[in-house]
Amino acid sequence: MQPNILLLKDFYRRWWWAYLLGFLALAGVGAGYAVSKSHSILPIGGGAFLSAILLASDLNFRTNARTLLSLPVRLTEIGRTYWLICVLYSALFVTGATALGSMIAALLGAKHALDTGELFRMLYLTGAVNAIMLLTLTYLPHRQPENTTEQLTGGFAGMVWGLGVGASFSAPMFWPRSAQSQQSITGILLLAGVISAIAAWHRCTVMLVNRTAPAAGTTSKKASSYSLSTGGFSGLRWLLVRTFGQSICFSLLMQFVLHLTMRLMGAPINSATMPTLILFPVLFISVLMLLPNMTALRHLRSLPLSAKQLALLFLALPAVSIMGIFLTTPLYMLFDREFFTHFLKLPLLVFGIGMFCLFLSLMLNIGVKWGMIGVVLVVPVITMLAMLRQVLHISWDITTSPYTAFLGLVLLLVAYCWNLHAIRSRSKIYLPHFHLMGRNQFGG
Amino acid sequence: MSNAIEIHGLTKNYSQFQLGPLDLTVPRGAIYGFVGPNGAGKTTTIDMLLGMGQPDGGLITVDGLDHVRDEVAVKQMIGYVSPDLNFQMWGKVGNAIRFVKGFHATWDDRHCEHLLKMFRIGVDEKIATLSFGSKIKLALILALAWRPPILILDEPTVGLDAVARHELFSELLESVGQEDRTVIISSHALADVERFADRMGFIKNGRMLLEGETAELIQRYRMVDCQSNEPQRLKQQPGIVLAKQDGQRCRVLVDRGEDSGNWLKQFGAQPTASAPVTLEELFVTLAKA
Repeated sequence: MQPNILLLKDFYRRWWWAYLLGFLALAGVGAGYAVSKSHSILPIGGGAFLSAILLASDLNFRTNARTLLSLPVRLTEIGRTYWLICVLYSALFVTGATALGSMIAALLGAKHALDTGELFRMLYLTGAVNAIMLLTLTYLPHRQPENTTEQLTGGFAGMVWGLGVGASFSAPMFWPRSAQSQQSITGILLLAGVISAIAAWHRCTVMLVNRTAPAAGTTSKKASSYSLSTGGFSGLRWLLVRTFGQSICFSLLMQFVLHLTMRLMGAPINSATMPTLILFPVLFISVLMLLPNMTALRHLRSLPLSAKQLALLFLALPAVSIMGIFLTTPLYMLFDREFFTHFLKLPLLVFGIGMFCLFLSLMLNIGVKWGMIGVVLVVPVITMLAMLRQVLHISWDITTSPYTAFLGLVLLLVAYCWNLHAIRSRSKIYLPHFHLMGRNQFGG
Repeated sequence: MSNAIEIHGLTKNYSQFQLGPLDLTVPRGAIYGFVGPNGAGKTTTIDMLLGMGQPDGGLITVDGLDHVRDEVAVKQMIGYVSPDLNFQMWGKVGNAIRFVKGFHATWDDRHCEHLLKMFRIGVDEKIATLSFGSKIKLALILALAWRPPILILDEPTVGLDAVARHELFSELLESVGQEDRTVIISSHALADVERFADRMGFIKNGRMLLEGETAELIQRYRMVDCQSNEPQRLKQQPGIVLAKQDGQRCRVLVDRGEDSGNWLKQFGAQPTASAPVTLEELFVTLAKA
């Protein structure tokens, strides 16, 4: 079970920034646990991000599988190196980073550093989730299905993948309190993890071979329709309406998954878990909806839109997406009316949109990876400010304060100016794939 | 004939590349071949014209309009095709069409359907699963369906097979023939453009080496074989490019038309043969010099 060192080095060299991001987030979570002793923040989903999700990006967008298969290395060696990266090493990384954060916080006076038992449980649960995600990845569709079996398998794997990503991030937040429930969930996860790990060990090579198949582009295509539909929106109105509609659909789906997870785990639905229920979809869906727009910047810039209009578009899109997500939040009223009425306040909405627009501006101005690292670095600052608020006994409610709305507007203004600067001056952002995945002549 | 595009003194400095100062003129209704080796600055020039980056100096006008001050009006005239365009975010071909048509009042649905049929791209096809060549064809459909007065094609034939390349140029010629359309084709492959371009610009290392009517360029230059005791002296003369040297025997590219042989004599060279050049010889010799 020896990994190929060159492949390991190559993988980590290309994704170091994602691991750095993960490390910062995980260490922060570990420190947060040491302060609050809340199991709800433990980062099992972090492992899934640093393994199967990263690997999916690696194999999908960089035509990397073809390069790997042309190397003088046995196919099984490549597959199993990726298995180790996904299942074992990322579980060790997640546990190590969280433990380190917890230890540092404990040294600074926090009372609840993670003990050996908790760390061990995190290690094997993260490994189990990673293995399940990796196995799902090996069944994900990688080209247009050719028959019904492929369509069904691919569709099912896609659904499990989507649910798995959501559930792996949200499950730890709703970890049941009772020892009996914890034991049964741990047992089920471990069993599923072990079976998935064994299956994925054998399926890794198949996955690599499948990824080398051409996405499409054969000359023997089925006859297609060439007739254009008339009516309906077009241009920017179409884009905004589409973003709004898709955000609503994704939000409903994610809320369903999150609530289902909570029900299955018997987790409480209260003011402590509600912010996660709303913030997680906001972050996840907004990123999902908006990053593709950045990859199309070259096309957008060639259209008859001024730089100012384009800069405004990159404020309008997050605003529309976040408003779409917030529109679906009345569902939460079924669970906690009081919390909902507190949470859905205009100042907070303005601040959220401002914050997200600033995040997009950072990515436009300093690049996606540095933008993401920058945003992660903001989290400890906000945490410190929140702690300072407690220390100084400041009692104003940030959800209703006009200062929050004002700060949101300032963030929007700063984001607009930065967007305009990037659109006018930064030639790099017009390169294919927004320079995220490198210059890929063949369009991914 | 007034000019559709004029570029004067364009400069753009990067850490490892400097574009310009570059002058370029494209008359209205012309098919302009913008040719140069990889990394010469063709795409950078086009990017500056479309506002993808800020020039460090110079002036760009399109139909007399400033490319920054009147950027929307300028882009309402330009259809742009490039292999670097990414349409994947629209999902299906029909969605990309729906999006782009909203920006152009002159969008022609029937012409678009004709183009879709010709390039065999269905409106319900997923863009992610299109082949690379089909993605270029989609870019071409989106650029041609609203009949823009100016069409900029940046390396349009990269990744296209011979049949697709033929279709592309057939459609291009048809569209130019029917309307008063100006076309710029940027390419590193001379064969792609020499049959169609009535005007050409050769760019290398960010500088325009040569610009003019295609026929005039071919007439201007001769490839001359000669004997010379001082090949280095020849090399230093403006209008002479040393293509090959073997002792005292030289092959030089001379910018003096049919009189090239006689003109060389004043520099101590004895011409032995003189022949007209093909565009490819001209391009390769200038690119290697």
